[in-house]
Amino acid sequence: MKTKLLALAGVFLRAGNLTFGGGDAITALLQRELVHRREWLTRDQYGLAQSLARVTPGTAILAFCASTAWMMRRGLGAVAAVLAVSVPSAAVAVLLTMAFNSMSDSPRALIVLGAVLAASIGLMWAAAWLLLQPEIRRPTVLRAAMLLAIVFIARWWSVSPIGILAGAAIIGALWPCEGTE
Amino acid sequence: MKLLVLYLLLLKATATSFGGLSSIPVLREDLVVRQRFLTDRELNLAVTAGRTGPGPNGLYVVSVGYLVAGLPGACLGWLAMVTPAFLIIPLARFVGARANLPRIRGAIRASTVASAGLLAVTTLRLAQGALTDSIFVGIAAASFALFSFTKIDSLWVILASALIGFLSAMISAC
Repeated sequence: MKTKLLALAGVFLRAGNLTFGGGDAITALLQRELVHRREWLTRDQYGLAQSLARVTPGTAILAFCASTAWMMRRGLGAVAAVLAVSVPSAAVAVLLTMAFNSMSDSPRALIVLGAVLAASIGLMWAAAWLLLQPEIRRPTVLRAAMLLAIVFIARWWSVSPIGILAGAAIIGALWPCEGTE
Repeated sequence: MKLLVLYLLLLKATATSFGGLSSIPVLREDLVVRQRFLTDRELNLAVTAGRTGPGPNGLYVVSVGYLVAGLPGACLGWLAMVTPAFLIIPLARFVGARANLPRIRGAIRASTVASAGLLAVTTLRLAQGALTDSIFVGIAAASFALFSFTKIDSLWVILASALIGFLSAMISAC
């Protein structure tokens, strides 16, 4: 049965704009709706979309939404899903940016803003840690050496991040480590 | 012209990274260090705004666009955020079957390690300007622990940090 575009957009609208916690929360809600509750996708289709989203540049959850919706309604479905997931939450992000920015005039508000920004620093360190964690479980000389070299080069010699990422990809392709499945 | 440059720089950051926040190093290099469209504090504020509301982690790119060029900039930020997502369609058709090849997986995993290293270095630089008080250092450390080792929603951590900041401001005013 062909999935109705409006119903499809409604599911993505709810998943993308009523969940806090980023991609994991959205993925969990979509799995329940698309695979288990509505049966619009099989588990295999869902798994393939998740794998491909991980190797697509950019925000993985948007690629995941585009992919699952494309499986159901091709190009039109992909556009509808990405719009539904991202437009309302982007509007909320702009409103929050305006609110945080306007706080800069008050000394007390500056302290509150400083505390919130400190939480963001912790968030970014956590993001780096969570990216690294799977590699640390299966340590190899290559990964450890590569990471140290990258941190050193980026910190002290100001090599462009793009160059470092490209270099790492080439090393990884030419020298797949034993932990690679 | 500035809008076109802004879009291309935002797209460059989103299209060359894997994962919502991993585009921060490229974005900082272009918008803060080279073009000076943005300060470190504004970049940090954009990340906060992007993570406080609902939706994808990459939303901070929309906030960055807004801080650089107002609402047109926010629209371009949104466009730069969603554009790479559509790359998955040709990927699903042609490349999906090759994603498990050792060399492809090796390249992806090495890029991910590099992204983590770059993100750590960039965050250290942002921290130099943001963590100016022992309370802020404590909040950053607690926030790192909560985000790394628990499933707590980011909204609660940010609201708790705001409450601690508010109490601190009230105490210092007395």
